Amino acid sequence: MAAKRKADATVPAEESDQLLIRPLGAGQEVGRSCIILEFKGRKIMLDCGIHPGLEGMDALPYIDLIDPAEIDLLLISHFHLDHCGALPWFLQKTSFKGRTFMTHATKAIYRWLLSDYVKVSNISADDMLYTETDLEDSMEKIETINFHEVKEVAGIKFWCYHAGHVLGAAMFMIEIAGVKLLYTGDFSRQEDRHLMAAEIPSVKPDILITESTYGTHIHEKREEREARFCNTVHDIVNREGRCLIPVFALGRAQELLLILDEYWQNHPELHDIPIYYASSLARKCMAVYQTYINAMNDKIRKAINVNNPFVFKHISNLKSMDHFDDIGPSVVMASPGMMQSGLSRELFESWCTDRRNGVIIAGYCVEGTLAKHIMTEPEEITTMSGQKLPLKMSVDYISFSAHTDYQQTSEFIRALKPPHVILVHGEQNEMARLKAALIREYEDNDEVHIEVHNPRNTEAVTLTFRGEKLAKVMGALADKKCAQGQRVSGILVKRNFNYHIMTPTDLSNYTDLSVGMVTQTQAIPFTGPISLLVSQLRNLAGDVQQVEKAEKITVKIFESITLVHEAGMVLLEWVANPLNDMYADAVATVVLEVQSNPSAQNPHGTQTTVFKIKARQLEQRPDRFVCCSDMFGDDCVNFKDSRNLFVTVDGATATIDPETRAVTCLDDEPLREMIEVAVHRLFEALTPVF
Amino acid sequence: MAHIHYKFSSKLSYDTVVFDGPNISLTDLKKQIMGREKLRAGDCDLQIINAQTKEEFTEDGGHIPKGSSVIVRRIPLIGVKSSSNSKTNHKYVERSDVQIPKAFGSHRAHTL
Repeated sequence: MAAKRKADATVPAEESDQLLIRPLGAGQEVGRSCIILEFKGRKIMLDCGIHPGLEGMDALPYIDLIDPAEIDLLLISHFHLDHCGALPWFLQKTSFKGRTFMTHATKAIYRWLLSDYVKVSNISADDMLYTETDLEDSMEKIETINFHEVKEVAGIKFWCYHAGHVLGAAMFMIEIAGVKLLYTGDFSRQEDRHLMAAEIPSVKPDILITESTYGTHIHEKREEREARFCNTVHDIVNREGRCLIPVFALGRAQELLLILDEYWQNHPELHDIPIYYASSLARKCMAVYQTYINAMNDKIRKAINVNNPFVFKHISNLKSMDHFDDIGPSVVMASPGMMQSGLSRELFESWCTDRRNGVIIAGYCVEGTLAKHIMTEPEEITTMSGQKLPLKMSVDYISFSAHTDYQQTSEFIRALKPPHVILVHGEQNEMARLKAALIREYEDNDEVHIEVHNPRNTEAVTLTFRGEKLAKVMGALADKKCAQGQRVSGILVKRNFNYHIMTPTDLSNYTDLSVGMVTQTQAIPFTGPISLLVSQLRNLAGDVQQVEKAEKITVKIFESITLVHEAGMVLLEWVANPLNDMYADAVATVVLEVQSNPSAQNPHGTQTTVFKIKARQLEQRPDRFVCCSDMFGDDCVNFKDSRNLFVTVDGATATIDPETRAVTCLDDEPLREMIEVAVHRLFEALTPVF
Repeated sequence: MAHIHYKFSSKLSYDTVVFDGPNISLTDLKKQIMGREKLRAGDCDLQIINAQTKEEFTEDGGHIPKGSSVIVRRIPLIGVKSSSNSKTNHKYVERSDVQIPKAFGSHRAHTL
């Protein structure tokens, strides 16, 4: 697999200041929202939708450009198909193993909305990206989060705000290493009958990723829109026509049902005209709506105490076409919203040739769908079977899609003043116009600088965030107040992006870490006499202490290395640290040398001798070479002249030349050898140390 | 009958393309894969990468020998506007300022 991450060659991703945002979908388009966020080695995917105007693999975002196994966290903003339509595919058919979060209402509705989508898709089973079973299996992998609840995953902190738009829609605020990013998903700053307006976060983000569906448009006033809608419906039924309103089973449909129910209530002359809410899942869907009242606005929550506003007086459920008696004028709300297939498409095809009938497009339509196409008022349309039919019914577009308009977006940005704005989820031209308008708003403003980006699909926006590294001093180290320029030393503990400094003893108080000790043991084969070894060790180390009351002969060398004489070997033991390791090395060398050099047997072996070494600057003048050799007794050693050292034992005299370290002895050859070996050993033992 | 095994980088398993001859040209391989996966949109392209060496096959390189395993990546075609073919096979030009029918009132797209 080709390397997809352009990691800095020198700086590891965890420490890098580069933040990357890459849309794999919804970049200069509407549909298949999927935005990748990379920072400090963490990878987050925001939304995972499909393109409603495309089918099969075409409809997916460009997932091939990332490795699903590397994504740590997946956040879904709301249940619309273009934000979660690819989720079952992503969870079940790729190597993704991170965690997925959405709000409770979103998860409940996701289950039924996608089930509806799978049923109404009229492409063959092989071409479907996933099945009902995949959808069911994906449910257990999805975790839920409450609004305003803070969660932390892999060092990423996140929480969500109400976004309006549809039930359960959330805007996610993400914090990594102190840098905050707000992803709005789809949002609306206008309250409607059952949803609250999007909240303005109290925390200001450094980066804002926002939708730009309506670009620079300004919506008409809510009352005007509702009036226009109701009047249009009234006109259609008045002229004996059928009124078709294509909507998905859940979402804006509920808002329209509330509006129509109220209008019918106020117009008794319409009570004979039926309103149908057609969806095979209608009952399940309404149950969900009736459950998640606490995600709706105060008005609905108050109304629920009186009577359930979602129990409608004038609207009946329609399971399918078979239950529908098409006699006389009626109003039918059917899915899907963009009429690609399913019941809304069937009804449209059977009604479009009669000029009394009318269709009201009540939501945003994506490029490539029939709903979008008929808004251009064509002469004829092509049916699902390929037949051509004349389009005579009236087409009205009254958008209730609850997206932000230019006024709302501008106000939202003004309240937050994020230094960077990334536009997604908008057609290319709309987005470009919005970008220009936003830049113009702030170009003369010296205090506020806002950079606006509108990346295409797969194009990355790279931003740099230089963080200040802050370490908190804790515990005993913090007892004394520090002065500027004072050196503090301790152990630096890094947990996610927090740094603390403390002493080793405090480690167990503040962390799960504790200080441990490593003891080294080394066994060296040794078959010689232990007494010789001990005397040689005395030559090396000076003080060698015999350990009392030990079963086997045990000595302690350098006060830290324990040597135990076992059968056929010696066992060295010491606490590991750099100094002790060096001592252990020296001791091991002596053991090995004694083992391999039997001629160095000391005939005076029983004599305990201490080789005190006070040698300084061996390279210097020989008279500085002071070596008190007690090996043969003090009175045996003589400095006859300033150059040479004389040793007299039992009548034989040996001459030691300190510079060349040559030993001469005319009388006693074994003595000469012994002294020579001792002098050499002394020299070798001294030179590395001093 | 010669085979080439291909796998989309995001997917988990390999599929096979069958053809005649010792090798297949890059263009033919892409067409075959797009046909099998029912990729119709005019705005996406495929990147074909050798599964062993991780090198991309380019147009000049030309031919891929039989028995190879390749990794496929779906990428957008740069420079082409993402217009998609609707199910009714109508082709129309995106005219965002004109499309909004008269029924929809107050949009002030032109004033800005």
